[in-house]
Amino acid sequence: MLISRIKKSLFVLIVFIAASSGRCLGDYDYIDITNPFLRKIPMAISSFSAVNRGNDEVDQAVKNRELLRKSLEFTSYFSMIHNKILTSGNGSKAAPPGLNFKKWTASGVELLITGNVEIIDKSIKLKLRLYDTVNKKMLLGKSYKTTINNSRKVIHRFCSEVIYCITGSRGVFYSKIAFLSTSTGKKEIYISDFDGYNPKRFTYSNSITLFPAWSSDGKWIAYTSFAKGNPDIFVKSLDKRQSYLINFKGTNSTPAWVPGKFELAASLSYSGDPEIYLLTGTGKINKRLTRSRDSDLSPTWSPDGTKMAFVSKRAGTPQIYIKNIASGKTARLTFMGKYNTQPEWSPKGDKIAYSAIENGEINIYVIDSAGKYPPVRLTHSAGNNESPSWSPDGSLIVFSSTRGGASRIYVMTAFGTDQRQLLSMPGEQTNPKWSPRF
Amino acid sequence: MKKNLWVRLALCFVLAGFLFTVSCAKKPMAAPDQPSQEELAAEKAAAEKVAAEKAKLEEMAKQKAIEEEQLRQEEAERDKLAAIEEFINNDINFAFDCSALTSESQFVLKQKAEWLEANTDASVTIEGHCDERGTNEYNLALGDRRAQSAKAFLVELGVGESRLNTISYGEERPTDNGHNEQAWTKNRRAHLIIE
Amino acid sequence: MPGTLSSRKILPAVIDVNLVSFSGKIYDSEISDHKGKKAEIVEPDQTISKKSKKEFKTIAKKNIKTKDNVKTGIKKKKIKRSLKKRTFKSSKVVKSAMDRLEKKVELDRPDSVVKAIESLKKEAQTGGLVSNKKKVQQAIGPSGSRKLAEIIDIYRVEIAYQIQKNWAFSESIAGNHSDLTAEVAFKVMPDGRIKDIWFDKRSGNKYLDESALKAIKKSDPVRPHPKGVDLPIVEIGIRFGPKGLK
Repeated sequence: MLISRIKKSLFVLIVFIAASSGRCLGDYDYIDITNPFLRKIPMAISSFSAVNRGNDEVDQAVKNRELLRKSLEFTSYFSMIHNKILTSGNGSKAAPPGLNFKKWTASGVELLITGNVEIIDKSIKLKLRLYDTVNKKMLLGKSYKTTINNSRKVIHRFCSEVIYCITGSRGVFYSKIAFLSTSTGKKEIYISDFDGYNPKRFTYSNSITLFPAWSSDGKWIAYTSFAKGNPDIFVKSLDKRQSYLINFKGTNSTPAWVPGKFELAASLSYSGDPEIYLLTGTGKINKRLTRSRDSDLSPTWSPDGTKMAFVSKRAGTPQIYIKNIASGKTARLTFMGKYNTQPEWSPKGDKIAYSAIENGEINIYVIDSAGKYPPVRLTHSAGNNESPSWSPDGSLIVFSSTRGGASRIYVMTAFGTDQRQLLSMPGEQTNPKWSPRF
Repeated sequence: MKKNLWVRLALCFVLAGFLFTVSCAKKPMAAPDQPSQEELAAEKAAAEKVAAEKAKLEEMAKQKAIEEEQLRQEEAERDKLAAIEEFINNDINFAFDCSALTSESQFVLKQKAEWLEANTDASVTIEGHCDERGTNEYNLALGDRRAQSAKAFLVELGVGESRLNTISYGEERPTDNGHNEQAWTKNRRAHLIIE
Repeated sequence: MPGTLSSRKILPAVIDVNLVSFSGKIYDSEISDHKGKKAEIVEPDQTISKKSKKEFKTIAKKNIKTKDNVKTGIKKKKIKRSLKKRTFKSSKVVKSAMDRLEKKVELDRPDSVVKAIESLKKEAQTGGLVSNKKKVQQAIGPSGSRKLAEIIDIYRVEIAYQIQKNWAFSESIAGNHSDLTAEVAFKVMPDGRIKDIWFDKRSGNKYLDESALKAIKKSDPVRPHPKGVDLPIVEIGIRFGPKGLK
């Protein structure tokens, strides 16, 4: 008994001492680092090489590399590292066997893209590779063949693969932005690529056109127009072959498509004051969703279609409310300020962007959809910033701003960083709406 | 001797005058039973003249009457137009983000109601407008509220509802393109137009 | 059973040293209490010579001191200074205790017990620990250890700074969860090469963990060990806890 006790205690002692001895040489405290030096991933795109070194090829090499760089930069995920010595291509193969990753990581780069262009007759062959320079491995390797004027699409396809590889979602490259412009003297709807490229006119109403809204499959646009002398909602297929009219007496405004359905919510005032109704895409009323004195308008759907945020003046000032369609319960979301409108539900479901007037200025705010935390302001002292709309992956927000005088379309990240102008056309551009991913 | 000369001369003269006048007087009296052609014509002409003058006077009177009538009509027209103008131009103004009627607005609407009572075949569209501040969506709804507000009041005053239409233009059709308090005040309005 | 061991749970950090009294009553040197209660001294109920009593007490006190230090050091897991000194001390104490024990036992114990104790003693001595301890003692020496520790700490901070400069982290890719931390440690060779990177605590967010790993990898090689540091490796621990933009 005694012996075993002695044994036990000695054993415990020994174990303890042994253990501590193991750590005694390098006992370390944790040094805290809370501020990453870079809040974006450092990426480099080396010059694309031209396989046959022809002038056309060199030209295409430069163009396509530039488009790739711009498109990836647009996502705001990457910080492009420019290093002349490193980015000068040697014009031979796409992936030189001894790709020196070390020299790239030495300048901080974590991702590298190399490219190689070959022109054969009227077609172009693009070989693009994405590398993780720190772990020294290739993440993506693609080879595309297409006509020369289709290379833009191909570059965007590769971008989409890159974003998918890094974030798990396909990004914004296959999306468009609808917006209003008074280029013809009257407000009409125009549609451009996600990066503001190639805006094309969509409506020819020759009157006041407002509130473009994309269906969740991207095939329909609903909007309000005074073309028939009254604010009516027009529902048009993107190819313009089909159209429907929602023209109840009074004001028909702010259409918002239900995710996954040919159904939309809209504000109709035929009952005496603007209320929100659920309608089929053809214009038949399915259900009345609000029943309050004073205005109810601007519906926006949660990505799963179960909840709807909207603006209501029922409490005396325009504020944002959320209605659970199944339970019918409505709760107020915004309590700060006297004028909160234009709510837009993020495709990620967690946040709602909106515009608020404070001290005579309109600015864009974001609030979590549960309303647990105070709202965060994204734009500051730069004219009027309104009409926010989320990119299909919820990473970017497009909006209009009068910071430069005339109203223009701007883009920023979901955190409010990297605010930049999207495009500029004659007249004023307002009310942008980002399409879903095509 | 001179005196006598003078008396004789005077007598001569008097005699000559007598003879003369007698002879003149004698002439017409010479044909009292036979009027001459000339005399008839002259009479006729004189009568015609009088008639013509009378006619002329009548004509003038008529003209005057017509003119007066015209003038009255024009005045009435002008009054009417003025009333219409007043009807159209006198907007009902609102406070910011408000669709309630001020007492001034109510007064203006009463005047409009009166006009509408006097012009029973007139139909009217009430437009609701907003100033440029705020967002388009909300302003379109606010304009709608303003138009409805004005309409409801007119109906209360006895105007037939079927005669009143409403439309909202939100902030899309300002009447003053300025970017100041003055412009904004003007733009926050309900505006009536006659159809 | 006369004189039971503490009925409390014995944690690895707890050292119960039972100084055996010939009477059978166990003298508990209880230092394991969190709140730092004083050691309970259970008086043996049998008659012990006054001398031995005193000895017991002094030994107990010594044990309390050193073992307390040792124990708290382990509990906190933040062993700033090496335990070389302490282990040295405690093993010294243990040794002396064992010696005394021996004497006592020899005096009062049957032969079998004495034999058992002898064999245990041998085990302890050849446990490998003592030799290590000797090496360390030789390498540093008790007086210079504090200064050295400072130099090493400064070196660690320098390297941490270098790593911070290489740390790229995008909140939006991470999915924007707040208050994530990853605890990563690695070994630095004398020439500055980084060897063996491991996670003491993963953040639960793959992207954050990966960004921490990359930051360290990108910094390889770091500055070589500073002068005066003559260690085979220097271990460094870094806690990556990105603070949000908001």
